[in-house]
Amino acid sequence: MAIPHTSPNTPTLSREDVETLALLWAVQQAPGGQSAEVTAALKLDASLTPAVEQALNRLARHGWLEAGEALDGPVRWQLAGMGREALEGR
Amino acid sequence: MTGFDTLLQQLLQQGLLSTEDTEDTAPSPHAAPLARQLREALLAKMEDVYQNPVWCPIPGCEPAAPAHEPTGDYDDLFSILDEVAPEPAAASIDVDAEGTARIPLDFDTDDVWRGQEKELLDALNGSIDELVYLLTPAQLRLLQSSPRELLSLHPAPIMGKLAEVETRQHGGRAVPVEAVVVDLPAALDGATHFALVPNLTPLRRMKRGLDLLCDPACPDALAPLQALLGLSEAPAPASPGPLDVVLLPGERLDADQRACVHAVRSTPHFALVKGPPGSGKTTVIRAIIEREVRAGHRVLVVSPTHVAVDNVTEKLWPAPGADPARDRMARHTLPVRWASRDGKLSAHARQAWQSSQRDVRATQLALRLEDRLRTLPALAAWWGRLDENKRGTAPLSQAISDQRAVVCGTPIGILSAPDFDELAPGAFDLLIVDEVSKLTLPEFLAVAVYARRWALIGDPDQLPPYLDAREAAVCFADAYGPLAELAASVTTLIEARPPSAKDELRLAVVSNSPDDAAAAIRLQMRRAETRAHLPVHTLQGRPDRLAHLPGILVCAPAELSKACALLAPRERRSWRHSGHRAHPPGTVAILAQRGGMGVERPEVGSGCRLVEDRERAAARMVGLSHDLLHTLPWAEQVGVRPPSLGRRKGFPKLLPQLLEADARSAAFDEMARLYALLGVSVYDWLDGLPDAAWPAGPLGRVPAAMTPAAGLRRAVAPWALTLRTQYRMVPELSAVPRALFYDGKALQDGRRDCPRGGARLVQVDSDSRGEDNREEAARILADLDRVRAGAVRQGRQVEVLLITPYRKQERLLRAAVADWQQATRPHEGGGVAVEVCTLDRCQGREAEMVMVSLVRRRASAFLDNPKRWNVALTRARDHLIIYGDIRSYLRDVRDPHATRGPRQSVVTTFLRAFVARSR
Repeated sequence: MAIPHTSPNTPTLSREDVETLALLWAVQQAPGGQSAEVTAALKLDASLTPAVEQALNRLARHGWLEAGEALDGPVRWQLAGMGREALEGR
Repeated sequence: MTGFDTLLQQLLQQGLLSTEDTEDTAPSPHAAPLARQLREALLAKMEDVYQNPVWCPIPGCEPAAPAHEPTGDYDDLFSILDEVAPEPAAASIDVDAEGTARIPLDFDTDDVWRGQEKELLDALNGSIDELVYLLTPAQLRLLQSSPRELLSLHPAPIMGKLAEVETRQHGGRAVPVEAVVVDLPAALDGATHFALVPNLTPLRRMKRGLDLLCDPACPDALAPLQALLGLSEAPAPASPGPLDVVLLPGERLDADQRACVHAVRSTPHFALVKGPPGSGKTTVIRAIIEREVRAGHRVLVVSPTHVAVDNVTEKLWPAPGADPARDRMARHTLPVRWASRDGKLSAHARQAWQSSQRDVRATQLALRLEDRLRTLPALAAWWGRLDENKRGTAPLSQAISDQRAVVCGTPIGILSAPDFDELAPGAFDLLIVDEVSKLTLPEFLAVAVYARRWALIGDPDQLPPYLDAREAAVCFADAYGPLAELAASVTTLIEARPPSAKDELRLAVVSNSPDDAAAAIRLQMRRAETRAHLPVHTLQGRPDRLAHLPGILVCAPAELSKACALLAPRERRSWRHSGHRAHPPGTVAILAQRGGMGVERPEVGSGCRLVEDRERAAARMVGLSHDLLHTLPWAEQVGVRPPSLGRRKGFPKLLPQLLEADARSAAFDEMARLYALLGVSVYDWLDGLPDAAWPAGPLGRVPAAMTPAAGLRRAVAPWALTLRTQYRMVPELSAVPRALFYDGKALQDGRRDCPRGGARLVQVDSDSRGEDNREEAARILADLDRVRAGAVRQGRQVEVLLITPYRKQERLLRAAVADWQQATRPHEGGGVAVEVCTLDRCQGREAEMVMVSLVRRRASAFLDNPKRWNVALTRARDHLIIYGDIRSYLRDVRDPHATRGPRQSVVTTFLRAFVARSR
């Protein structure tokens, strides 16, 4: 996955960039970092939570997110350094 | 056999070449009689496909002069492979950058020996979406001699997909002249011939499903499917329990609909939902899917028609341009509409379209997600900088697109999908079959093995399965035995002729044992009580007695030319101009014994014609059985005798009467099982056939052939329900079909609004005797003018559906409507949207106004089918107008006071019912 060009000096974004930023923003808005909360932050139907979780996993694989400890509960997502930089650089 | 073929055979025998035999013929030792017979039928169908290739030269691509003539003198395997490899030739076909080419076709339709224009066109039309081969001359020889070897050839011949066939009228018939082929390579070097390769994937998947069910290691979850074939015990009877369906926000379901949703959700195996027209089948299907997906289940939805699949898809997928705020975009509203091409999909359903090469659905989902996320102010700035030209994998829309909880398609489309190659048995929690009355048991089983519960939804009083009599007869030939089939086909040919022409038949019968065949034919004619005075001779007997006279001459294959010359009249009239009869006076019909015997064209010029497969005994028997099965119970219930039922008197002529009693009884049982498998819908397998006084013979044994399902029927009964209320038609329209086709038990009126509407019969006088009627078309256009004027006045759109029994009239109406629409100025405020279709393709459609063009003045056997008319008469919401020679039909009633009911056609019956209601 390409690094989103989030600098104000970069005039345009790809759909991949925008959706990545939207997910990062939603993780930041979700107090517990759970996928269901991220889905709600995006105002999406709760039945799409598995799809949101799949997308968050993808972002984690590319270093944007970190998965918190979850021995017996749902994964708690939080921004990795690269994710924070991307959001701050918007 | 050419030298090339000889060498091929030698190489095969020496083991230097091998054939890829994927369809082994050994029946499984575990299979019950039904399963064994089904397996044999599928193999026979596949073999038939192999044995009947369709091909023609490509004009302008004549073969280059060969480097060497095939002499049959090959040193080794490599020399034969050199010949089969593509040969450079002057190809003059341009392939565009997207791999599409227009390929001229040159089918020899004037050649009466193989000129079967209708079959050819049907084969081409039926092959749209399927592979076509462009062959070199050597590859063509391989197709003709060993088609299996061609299909497994490496490197493979040039292949593409057939997208469209252009036709032109020739001698009053549509003749294919050009094919549009897509997915072609850039160069077509060496291609000189066009050939069809029918899609065998569905047949292979049917066999794979059957093999799985016959396998001792078959998963337990599929045991109810095994019970259908008698391969396992039926489940113990149980109960659905108390009704447990809570309505979702905004959902409206009547009591029957709720009960049906509950039945499907609670069944451990099958649920049967009988849904008459307009009773909300699609609403029920949507309600079921929504609940299943909420429960985390996967659902497969299939229907034999694209229209029904699209209806379900459209119910789930929001309409184009829907308010993003009201677009729920939930998991159950993201169905996959699977189809190899999008040509037959509605514009709405196309948004959910996915194929192995295109994914319109993914693009549409990305746009819907964008609409949704743009409503969040925090994200607005980023969306404002979106550049669509920048590529990448959008993580969220891709993940949403990967949610394939609901997959919809036709059985053939689904079975041809590469994704299903890897799919495990029972991968879907639920299979919903819509329009199940059109699906046969093998077609059902092929997709059913991918699910663990099965909901069968449809209406057994609407169209039954399509049965290609010729194709089915391929499977029946073995039940007769070759000699009995030959003899029965002789009496069938005689029976099919009008009484005055029976004694005029000139028939050359080709058999490897002419004496035995002649004796069998005489015996069959005697036992079938054939009313024709036709002598039967062999060339070794006294053929001179037959010289140039009508009669039956049995000969060996090598003697065919001599036999034809003897039988041909001294002064032959030009048969080409003697109408459309299959065997006009003076023509010598040629009937060959089945069983791999090739028949060369006789050297006597024109005037000879090979008897087509659909004219033979087994094909006629299958066709007549199919008509009777779907007409007889209705006729007994309504108390009329349609003329087509009289055809059953000819039944004995179609059966192998020369067999002795025991052999005949065994053959009848075998035919009954085959017919039940190939002609009876899976709905009837689970619900049982209606009672009727079936004629003795194979048809009378069909209910007994379905006994393995009897135990299952008892287990399924608690989950079999009917939707009794219809919400489509105004009461003036529902009354006649309710009385005639549902015995007053279904089709209760549920519409709350009461617009003006009803049925109208329009008398059109005409001299038309064919399958089109210009006077009716003209009258329909005049009425469309009036409808349009009214629509413009009221400032609204009116949907009109034109229905006619015949394709020829459908074409005529389409052209007339296209001209009419061009001539009428579009009006912003209102207008008329017209759709034209045949009786057999109108199921699943509806419109505010329906116009039916009867075309013929008297009902033919084709028209004398109550299920066809039930569909046509229940498409209109408000207005139904029937055009035709109404007076002629109303008068056509014989024996009005007979105790067994008057003799009148189905058309006369419903027209009289409409007249009686209007009084």
